[in-house]
Amino acid sequence: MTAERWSRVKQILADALDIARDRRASFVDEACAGDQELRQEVLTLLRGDEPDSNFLNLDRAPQMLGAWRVVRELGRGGMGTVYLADRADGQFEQRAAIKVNKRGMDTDAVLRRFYAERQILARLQHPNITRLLDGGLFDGRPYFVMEYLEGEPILDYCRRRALPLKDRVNLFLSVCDAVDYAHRNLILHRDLKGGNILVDSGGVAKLLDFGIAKLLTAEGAAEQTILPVQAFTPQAASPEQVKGDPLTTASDVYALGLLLFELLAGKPPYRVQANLPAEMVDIICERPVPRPSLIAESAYGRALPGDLDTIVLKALEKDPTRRYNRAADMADDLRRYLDGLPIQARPTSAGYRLHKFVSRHRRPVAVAAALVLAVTVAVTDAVREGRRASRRFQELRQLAGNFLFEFHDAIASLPGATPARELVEKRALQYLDILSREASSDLDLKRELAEGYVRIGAAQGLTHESNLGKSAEARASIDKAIALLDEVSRARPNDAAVTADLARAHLARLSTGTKAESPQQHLAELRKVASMLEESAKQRPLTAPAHLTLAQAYFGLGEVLWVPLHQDSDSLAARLRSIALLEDLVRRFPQDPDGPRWLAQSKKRLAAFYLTELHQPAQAAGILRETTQIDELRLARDPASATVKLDLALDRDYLGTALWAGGDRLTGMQLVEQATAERAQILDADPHNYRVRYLLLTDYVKLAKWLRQQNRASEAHAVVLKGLSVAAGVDAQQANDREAAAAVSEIRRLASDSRQ
Amino acid sequence: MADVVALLERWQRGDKSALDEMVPSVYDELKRLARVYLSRERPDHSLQPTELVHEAYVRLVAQREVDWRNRAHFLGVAAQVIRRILLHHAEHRSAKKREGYSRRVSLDAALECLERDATVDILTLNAAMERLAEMDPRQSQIVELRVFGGLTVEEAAAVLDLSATTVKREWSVARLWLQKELQ
Repeated sequence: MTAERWSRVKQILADALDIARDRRASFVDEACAGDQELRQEVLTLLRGDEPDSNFLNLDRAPQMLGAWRVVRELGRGGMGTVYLADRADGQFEQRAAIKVNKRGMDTDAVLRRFYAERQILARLQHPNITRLLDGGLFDGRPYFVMEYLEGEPILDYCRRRALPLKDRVNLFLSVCDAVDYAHRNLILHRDLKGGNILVDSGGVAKLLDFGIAKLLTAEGAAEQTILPVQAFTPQAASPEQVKGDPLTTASDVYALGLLLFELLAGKPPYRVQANLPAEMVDIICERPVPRPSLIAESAYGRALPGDLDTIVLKALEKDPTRRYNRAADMADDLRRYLDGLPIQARPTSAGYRLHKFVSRHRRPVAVAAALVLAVTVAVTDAVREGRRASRRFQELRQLAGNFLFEFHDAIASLPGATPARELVEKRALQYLDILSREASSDLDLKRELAEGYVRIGAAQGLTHESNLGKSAEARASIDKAIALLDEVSRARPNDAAVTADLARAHLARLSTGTKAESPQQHLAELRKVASMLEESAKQRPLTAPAHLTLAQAYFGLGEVLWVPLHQDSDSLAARLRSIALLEDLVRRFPQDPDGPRWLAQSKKRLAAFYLTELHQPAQAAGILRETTQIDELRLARDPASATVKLDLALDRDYLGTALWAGGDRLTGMQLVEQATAERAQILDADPHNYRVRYLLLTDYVKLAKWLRQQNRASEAHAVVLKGLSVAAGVDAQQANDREAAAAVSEIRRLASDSRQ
Repeated sequence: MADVVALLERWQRGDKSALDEMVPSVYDELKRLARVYLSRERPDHSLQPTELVHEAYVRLVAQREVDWRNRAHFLGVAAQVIRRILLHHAEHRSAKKREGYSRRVSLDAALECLERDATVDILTLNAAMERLAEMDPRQSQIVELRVFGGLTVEEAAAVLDLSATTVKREWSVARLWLQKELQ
């Protein structure tokens, strides 16, 4: 047969295979349009299509799974297929439901986890939990053999039999016992819902499907799993599940609360749709849950006693620590209710509700949560389903990557954005960690991920950015970036872009403020970064980011040679080199906003050098008037940016100090006061901003000292008091930062002086 | 042994020669595994090509946590290799039969295991696949991946950069055609 002929035959044949058997013949007649030979070809081939033909049948169901003979398919889901099976070795008669994982679920990591969990699940022996009977591998894929149960989902069972209230509560109590038993065996169910609980003909409720069950660590929180963003059923998800926080026994309690709510009221407290993530987050994490008696469908539901309302609402608290700790505690309260005793749970107080109302209106966080959740969940779903290669996945990946980082950058300079940034940071890290595990040979993806880690690191704690004050975390993120880039660089040793990325990451690592290296090591690292880029620049002109990195390396050299090492002339040389490079950058890339910023920063530091080392305040003031101009232009371009405002405050701070030193104490003091007021305003809007808190402390220290020099003791005292209240906001995390700690002890010393 | 992961990476970047360089490593590993399977002396153990390929994959590649797409590519290569091994073995044996020669080396015994479980005759299937390749090379490739590599529709789709729907359609048609040819 010729290729053309075959192409005709297969078109018609494939179309015919897609339609019902009894309509195929007439379809073929029509499609062949009188070509008898073609029709004959197609029909001959079509006759071979028998439903149970064994010829090259690669998709057939397993016939035997260990000692089990497969009877028929019961259902298919995202993770695999469930079969009904009989025991085949004739030892005894038993039916089982066997869940065979999908192909692609057979990676090493999944298999290891499978064996670990199989052992634990096999230990669970409880009358209200379906037993794990057996397990093994079929064709490399894990399968679980579970006790087979003919029963009805618990909600249907109650509804159909119109079960009285007391019986419903009793049935629910047996579910609580099963969950508590699993918890005591250090297992979380994590997907408790009506559909996973069957009631058999004897009226016994049984928990199914510990498929996504999770082992608890000794601390009680679920261990880190393969995919940090877990599969869950939105309708049955707890607030912590939605937010990606660690799950605990209280998360299963929440699910029990939802179940009890529906058992009592006849319908769930809310309905959520997975495709409306913003609404989902709002409903699950923010909106108060109504009392079951208020929305109950049945007459008896509306007459529910207040105690049952209270118990359900306690299980459904948004904050896991306010729920029943354990399923057993919830069961105890229900038993007390059945026995007519007072229950332990108290209705939520009005004060607490008001507090929740206020915190509910911190919109940026909720909006960030919703959007970030939407994209990361979509990508992780794609990863989980093994659709990594698909175009859809690539699109999602791009969307998520751009979104996370652009969103972060967009809000980073807004005052008050810190909580939202924290959330984006957490999600973005989860996202990067997932993809890193998937990226093993995709060099472009690795570069992209490394870029992401550096940006996260910057948000977490680069000392020259407004940051979240997490130096150690920042360093860990950047180390991940470096590891990824090292791999890429080994594969593409002559790629200038990779070299630039690597240089940037190394530089970022040195800027984490962890002070893990000695000044000498720091110096050596900076020199290495600079020489990497100088080498690369000899091959071809540097790109804007690489050019900036080189200038920043010299900026860093200027710093480290100056303060810890006191090699002043080398420091000055490095400083001048960085300024020359930045002036070049501004010329070459006039649109790049980083150019003017870093040029102004470098010049400010040069001015500081003139002032403190060369004792030339007039020179310094001249330079600082220049930098003030640069920063005022930047502010005109971007009037809402807190970053630019902070840079401008630094100009005034330095200029004021230079003028003070030059003898113009009045203007000097005014400028520093202005800088202080500006910083205080920024800290007020964004109290979590560690960098600003530190700078503000140094302002108060400086002002207090100046005022004392002018014998203005009471004014100095007022400034110290302000400083103390700013110092009180330094948390344990920031207290680890050496500079911040020094500023705090300085203000305390001034305070004790002024008391004496 | 050449670094299979590096070769896969080269192949993905479009370097076609990487595939040929990869074949010897994969071939050696498959032969070695076949011997190991035999030496376990487990009469109940029926050796499936798919199982062999997956194990070879785990040994050569998976410890390095290669991504899913790479895995499919590897299985694609292994499918070619398995087909060659089986074919070579079957031709060899029919030649020996003609010569009345009956000594068997251990490797051959391993391969016989492979063949015994196949539902079709390898030589006939191969000849039919070659005829199919002349009419429709893509279909022949799909058959190779699925039959000799044990790839699922989705995995084959990833290797060939086609949609799963297309692969499924092509596969069911090719299967009917082969069935008719082999009758």
